[in-house]
Amino acid sequence: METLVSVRRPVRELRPGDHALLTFANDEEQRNVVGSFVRAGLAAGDKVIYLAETAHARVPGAPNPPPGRLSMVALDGFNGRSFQPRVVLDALVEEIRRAEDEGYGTIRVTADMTWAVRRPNGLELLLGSELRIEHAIAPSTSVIAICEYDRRHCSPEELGALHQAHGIVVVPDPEFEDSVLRIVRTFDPTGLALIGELDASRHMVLDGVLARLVSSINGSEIHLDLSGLGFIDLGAINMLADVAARRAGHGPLVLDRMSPQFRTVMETVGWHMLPGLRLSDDQ
Amino acid sequence: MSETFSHRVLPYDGVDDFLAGAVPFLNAGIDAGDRVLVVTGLGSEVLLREALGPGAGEVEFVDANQWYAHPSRTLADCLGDADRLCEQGRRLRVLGEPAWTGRRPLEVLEWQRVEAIVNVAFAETGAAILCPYARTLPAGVVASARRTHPETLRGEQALDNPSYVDPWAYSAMCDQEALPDAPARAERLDIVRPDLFWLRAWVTDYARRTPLAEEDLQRLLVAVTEVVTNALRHGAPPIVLRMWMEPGELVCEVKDDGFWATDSAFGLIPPRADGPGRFGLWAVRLLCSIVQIRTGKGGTTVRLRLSLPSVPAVVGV
Repeated sequence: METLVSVRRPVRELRPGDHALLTFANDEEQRNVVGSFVRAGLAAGDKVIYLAETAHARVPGAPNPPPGRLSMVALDGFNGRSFQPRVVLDALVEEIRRAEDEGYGTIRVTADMTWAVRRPNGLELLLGSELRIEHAIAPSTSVIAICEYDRRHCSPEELGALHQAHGIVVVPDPEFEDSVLRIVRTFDPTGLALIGELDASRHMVLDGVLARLVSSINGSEIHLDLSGLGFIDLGAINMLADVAARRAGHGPLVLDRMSPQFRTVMETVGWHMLPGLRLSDDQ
Repeated sequence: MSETFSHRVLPYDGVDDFLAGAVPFLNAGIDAGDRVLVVTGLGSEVLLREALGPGAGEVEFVDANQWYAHPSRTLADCLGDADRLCEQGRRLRVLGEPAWTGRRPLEVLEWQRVEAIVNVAFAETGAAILCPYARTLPAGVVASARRTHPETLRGEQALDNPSYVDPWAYSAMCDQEALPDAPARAERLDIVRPDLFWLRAWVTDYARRTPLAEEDLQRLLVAVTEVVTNALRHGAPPIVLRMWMEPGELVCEVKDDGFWATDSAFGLIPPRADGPGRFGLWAVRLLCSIVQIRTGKGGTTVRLRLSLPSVPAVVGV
């Protein structure tokens, strides 16, 4: 449902003045993106402002935040008025002003606003507030904001309207990137997207990323989106088959959207050589 | 599996000779409930159908030109069938008459090598394979058949072939002759960095100037990446890639200064699916039309040959 005008930008490329939208598929994706955003901010000495359900919520990417650098705005602290998006956003703007006064060069704000869409007239009120945020942040040289929405709780129309209210869509940082290969985590389905070319000079990279992924999920299916892959060598295919074999008993390793050319190559070689791999039927 | 593997040559002079060996072989398979396959030309098919009578209904007939399309692919398919039947407690029985005429010498050599390798690859499958060879074939072809088949069939009697050679020794003999030097017109790329992204771009540039089909270009890229990766890992510098055209073929050569262990199987036998995965060189053979390998103290040369479409489909820049 993304409009063509949205610019997709990985977390690490967000710059002051960016008012970005995150529509996450599940908690994992939310933790990944928000975690990178918060972690990078704390590491760089930025101010981080985080909207949470309660003041005791765990903030992804900030297991031990340095004192003063992380400000929590808790929804349960508004005595019921929190259900007005405008009140909450005003509170966030207040925190931003305070951080500016304290002299922070960069101020990172992140807020899960899914709850506001579900209020009566929620979307309309929210879009009004988002517009104010857009006007407040766009000319700013210090503020970066991510507005989070849970895709599972928004209709396609609501998502479309939210996209129009944000100039930028934030996506997870790549797990790996160089001039030849990029590996990006996917969350729906769980897996990785491989973009570029993969051969022996980057087998270790993929092996490492896959190992991290395998240890972070509970044996569910792993999907590899190959639609952006221009080349994959036999060693990499062999390696994937080994990973699949090591996971015997768990979900399979599924290769999605393999190019017709590479499908032809693998049919010449014979898929029966690689028992653990499953090829999805899509193209 | 109680049946033992057999691979026999049936040299024949005329129709009667042919039928005297082939018909009892096929009938034995029909009686035993084997999967019976006849790979031959139309003329022999008509003769056999008549001689087998109603039994012919139990036999699958396949056109030889279609079946003998590619040495490694044919071997892989046939071996896959034999393995599956073996697991079911059945036997694969093949009467296979290779199409020798009209093949270039290099292709003939590879098919003869397959005849030898069959003895190793099928040894555990219990398959029965009978290969009729007309005496009208060039003398060298028949003589080679006696070196690649452990037994000769005379009528219904199987006799040991005194000139039978160990399959690996036979395969080594196929590679005895030195390869002719790459032509001076060959284009050359010295491989100095391990990143093969640039190598593929270079190979693609060359191939796009030839009539090589897009699918075959993808096969070539996978094959050449595999061979160069091997050279980088196990060979010795300098590693040099050359490409050139020959009539009807695109040739891509990878040369390095290392040499392979003498017990290398050269990718001639498919690895087992349940074994540790190392199917690189075997896959390279499947991906190319012909693969030539020479290895020794003077270095290692691997030549990948890909057939070009007889009518150029698209002419590049």
